Amino acid sequence: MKNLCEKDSGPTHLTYYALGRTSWGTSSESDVQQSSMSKSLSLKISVLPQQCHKTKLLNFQYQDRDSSSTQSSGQSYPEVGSAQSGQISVQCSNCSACSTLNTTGGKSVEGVISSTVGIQDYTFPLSQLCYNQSLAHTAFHFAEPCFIGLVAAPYAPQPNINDAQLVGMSPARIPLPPDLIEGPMYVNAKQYHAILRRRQYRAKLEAQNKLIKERKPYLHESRHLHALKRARGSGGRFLNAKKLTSANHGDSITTCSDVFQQHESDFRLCGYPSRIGRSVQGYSVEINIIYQSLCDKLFWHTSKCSIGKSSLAHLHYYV
Amino acid sequence: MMDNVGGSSSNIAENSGIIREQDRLLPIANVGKIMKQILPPNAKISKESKETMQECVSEFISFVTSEASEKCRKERRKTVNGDDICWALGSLGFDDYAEPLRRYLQRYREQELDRANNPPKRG
Repeated sequence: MKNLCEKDSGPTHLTYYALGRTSWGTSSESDVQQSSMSKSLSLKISVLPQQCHKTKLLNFQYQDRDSSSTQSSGQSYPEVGSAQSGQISVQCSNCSACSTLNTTGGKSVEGVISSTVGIQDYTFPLSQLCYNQSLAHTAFHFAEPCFIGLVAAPYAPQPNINDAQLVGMSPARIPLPPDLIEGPMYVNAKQYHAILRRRQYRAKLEAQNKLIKERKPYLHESRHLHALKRARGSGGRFLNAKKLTSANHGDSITTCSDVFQQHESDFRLCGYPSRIGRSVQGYSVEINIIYQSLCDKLFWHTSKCSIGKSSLAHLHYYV
Repeated sequence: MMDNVGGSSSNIAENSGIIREQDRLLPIANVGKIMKQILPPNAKISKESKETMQECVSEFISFVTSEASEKCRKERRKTVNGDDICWALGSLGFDDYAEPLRRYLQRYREQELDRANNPPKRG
């Protein structure tokens, strides 16, 4: 894998990887905003494709959004896929140091000044790129990740706007940004960007405090109260109009009914009462453990458990 | 049958912005039924495993859908259709699932076309 890495595409990969890594240092709200802002404002340098190599390159394109006609017409998407006159192509000769990126940055600054006169917002992503580059040089000392793969047929007519889709013959493993708990985790190269996107989305939900902390035992209060009032037969099952049919009902879904049915004969042979909650004496350790688990699950439903469901209306309720 | 309107207390809880359990996860009964299909008839499934599988399949759906949605965003389309889901599965490396889903989607569309051409007679 290291032998196939191209020197020409080195700084591009390193820059992109540095962007991906620094944006996931912590999952706080400011970092999420910063990463989203850096994604939207980051300057992208286009590398000229070389037809003799079959390596799929990450294509970064700088597009002049202010002079775009679709931008002025109130387009909901800020990015334009087609090539424009404002597109700047910078070719990187080597991938050794930050001075190369500074030179590229200088050229890009000239291009920005020549294309968009009077706009000062585009100087910020340049410094951020240099910052990420310096971070990559100082903090990470490893071989540059190389994306190997053939160009897939569905991608050929479509222009690459942000990221080229990585299509590999054999899935290569690339390291994810490390979590707070675990170390670096290696994932499928095809799923790398999607995993980062999902992590960002979950971090945003966590920041907005929208995730559910704990699950409720039931969804609707009225249905729960109705179930509490229903008559129950021996074993805790609901009584139906036809009691025999309800007794022979063998379709069990919940854990309580499963555990209870397995030891129903043992309980009845020892004269176990129909009301649950009394202490049972003289049982073995195994049955006691299962019984304790059964009591815990039962008392979790305010001392009345709904074991078994004879009505289809409550099928989506008590599971 | 499914009554999504809860009591007043649950309405107050919903308005605070917390995503409800039934909006984020698949119904646990349906997950249990699907899990039961592959098991022998006398097998039991604990509620803990159903809840774990509920979390896994819901995250997988969001994972594939976000990949398809990203493709639609790039192409400036607003509707994510079945082809986008099949493409997303192939793009994420689930090629073994993408091909059966394409065939399923093709047969589903043929069935819909037949239903549209031959409406059921009333009588």
